[in-house]
Amino acid sequence: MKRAIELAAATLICLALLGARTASAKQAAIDTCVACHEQEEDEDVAKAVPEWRKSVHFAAEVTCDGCHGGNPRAKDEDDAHAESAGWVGTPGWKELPTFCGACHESIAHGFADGNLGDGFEGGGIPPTCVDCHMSTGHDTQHANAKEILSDPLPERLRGLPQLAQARRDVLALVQRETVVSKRVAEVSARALPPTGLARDLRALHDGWAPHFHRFEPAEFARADVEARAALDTVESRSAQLEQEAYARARLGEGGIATLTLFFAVLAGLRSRRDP
Amino acid sequence: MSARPEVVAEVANWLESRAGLRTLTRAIAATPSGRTWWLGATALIAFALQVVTGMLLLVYYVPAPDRAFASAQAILWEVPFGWLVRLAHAQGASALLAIGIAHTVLAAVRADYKQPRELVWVCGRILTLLGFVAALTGYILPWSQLSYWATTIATSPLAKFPLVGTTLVTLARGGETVGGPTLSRAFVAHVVALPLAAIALFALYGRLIARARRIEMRRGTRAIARLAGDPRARALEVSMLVVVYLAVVLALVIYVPSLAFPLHADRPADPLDTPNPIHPEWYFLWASELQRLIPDLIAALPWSHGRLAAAAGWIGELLPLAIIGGAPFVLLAVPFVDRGPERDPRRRPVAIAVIVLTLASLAVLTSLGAHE
Amino acid sequence: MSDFIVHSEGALAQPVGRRRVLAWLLAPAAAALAAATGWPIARYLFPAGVAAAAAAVEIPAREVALGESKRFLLGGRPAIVVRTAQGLRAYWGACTHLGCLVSWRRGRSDFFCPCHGGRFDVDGHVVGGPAREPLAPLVIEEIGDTIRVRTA
Repeated sequence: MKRAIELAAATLICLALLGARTASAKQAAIDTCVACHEQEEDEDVAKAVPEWRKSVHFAAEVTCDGCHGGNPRAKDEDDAHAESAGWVGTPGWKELPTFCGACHESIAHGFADGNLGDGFEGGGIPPTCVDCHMSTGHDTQHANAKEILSDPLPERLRGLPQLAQARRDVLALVQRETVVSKRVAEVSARALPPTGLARDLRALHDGWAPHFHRFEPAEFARADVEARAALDTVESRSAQLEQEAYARARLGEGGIATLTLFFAVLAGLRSRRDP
Repeated sequence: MSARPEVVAEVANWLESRAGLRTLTRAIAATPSGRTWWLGATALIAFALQVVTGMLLLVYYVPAPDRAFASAQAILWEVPFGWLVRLAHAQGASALLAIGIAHTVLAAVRADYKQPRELVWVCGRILTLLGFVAALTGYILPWSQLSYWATTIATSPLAKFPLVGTTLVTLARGGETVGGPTLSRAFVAHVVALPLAAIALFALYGRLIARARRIEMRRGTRAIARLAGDPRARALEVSMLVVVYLAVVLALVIYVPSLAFPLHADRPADPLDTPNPIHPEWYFLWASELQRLIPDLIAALPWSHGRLAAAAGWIGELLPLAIIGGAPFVLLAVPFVDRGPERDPRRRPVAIAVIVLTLASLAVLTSLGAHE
Repeated sequence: MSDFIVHSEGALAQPVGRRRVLAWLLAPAAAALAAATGWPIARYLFPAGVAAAAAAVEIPAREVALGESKRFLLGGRPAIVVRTAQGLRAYWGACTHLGCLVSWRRGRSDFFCPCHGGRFDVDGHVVGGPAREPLAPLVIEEIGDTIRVRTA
């Protein structure tokens, strides 16, 4: 009997771990795309993998096929790069906003409609997503004005007046957003039911980000005011919830203490009754 | 013995002559104290907690699709101690089902379904199944994204029944798709029908057990550990159990409240958007994983292409439903399949092997489902 | 069992054992548990006390002609205003017997409650029926073409 239980437990644990490992999509992509591309002779292609590992996309579990398409569980090159599996390949310079816009749709729209998108009138290569959000290719970091627009901007963009203005305008807002999101992260780490605050923050961010990417100061100013009001609401709700979490924890502990006391008394009485 | 006042003794005598109270308490006290009994007692206590918290929830909950989610959220965030009531009910439901499963497993291992306990097992299993149905009907009530889509998934298989499929689905949903009428039907089932049925079955269960035990004592086929129990000792023990259970639920509520809120359970239902990914609660993960796994496995078989592709597709779709739908019946049929007189687990290798395999498969399926 | 016995002359010559101490502890512990369980449930069942905020409502004067009455909500509760030869009067609309709403009867110049036949005169005093308290008055003033009613 005991052995049967031990055997069962061992079987369960092994199978569970096996199941967990094979079912992970991230693992599948690493097994396929990375396995080939890490060993590429062409350095420009090979460096994509280590860059990706340091990027915010890796942290968010966005794998190669998430942007480039293709089949991350394939066994050979042709299957992996099959068009039927949605393979898109490497985008050209002008195609970048559409490429990134597959997920970041509203921002890509805002950019295309704005001063630096389709309406760009300066000469030379027009600005595009990678200019501000990546330095070498795949190492996208979390969008933070201080890191994006700090030096060095690509040489050809350094003189653009819209970018300088944009930096000044957005820096303060992003800093405020970071403060509030830290607060929200603290609250979310507490033992509370889902608060929806992280989602509210995301929605808030997705509200003003497209406006910012139009690089039009007046329009951004409006979005900025709304965003700040919403951030204030989220912050005060976080503070409220933090207090709530503290109160609940103390109350619960008090309840458990009372129950323990009662249990001790009952146990004492019960033990007096043994023959 | 502590000196009891005269008044108490007189009231006790009065109650005994009118209502037979002392006889009843002696009967309850004369129960064996094995693990199976204690698990069953815990299940009853868990059920009682669900009833109490459920009644409290009903004070503020509004069972209409446009107000259900808001009222549930109000209970969680605005009503004083509403969080305690709602979370206790949600965590308590999981606890109740876990206890029910454990009790079933222990009863199976100890062969508590063999003669003369066949009906005891059947009654007990129906109670366990009622628990699962209660979980299913209760889940739709907060009207979250998970509520809506989990109910859609749970009721769609009914349509696959030949001939009566559409009728069954319409009966369950009150319409073609999940909506307000579904909520009303689930409400009636969860709040009135199931609790009444459960209470009736608990009473029946007690009676069946008492009869079976009497037969066993007469035959001497079962070693009864303690016959004439001290009612006060048993009362103290049961009180201790209640206190322990409440403390466990309270700890779950305080320290891991998000357990009661799997993905998408915190957003209001949107009939135009099925969230991705979506899983049911842990106790149904095995079923949803079967639904994903079996069609894949059948499609991977070499003879599933070409002319047999249609048949393979048909099997892939219906086999999981047959397994899930047939499982309760298999469970109920156990006492009539295994009729051997052997009760010692060490001498029933086949039965134990079947139990272990079933548990292992369920555990693996649940784990796979959790990681999808 | 290690009971210890307290001997003493007089009325307190009773054995005091550990069991007795525990039994004595049971009642207060049970009370503490009952309170710990009952208090959250009590708070749960009693919704947050709505502060009796001084509420005010404005009604256009032409809506209440001579001999006419009007029902309205003041801070969410029903109220009634009437204009008679003696002037404007406003009261909380609930009959002081069991809470049904009163109506102004022009022909009899009284407030009438349909539930048990309670009657109140224009000043709110009870003139018939089972009620014993007069209608609760509200403060009313007419400024220009607006009637302003507020809680006392």
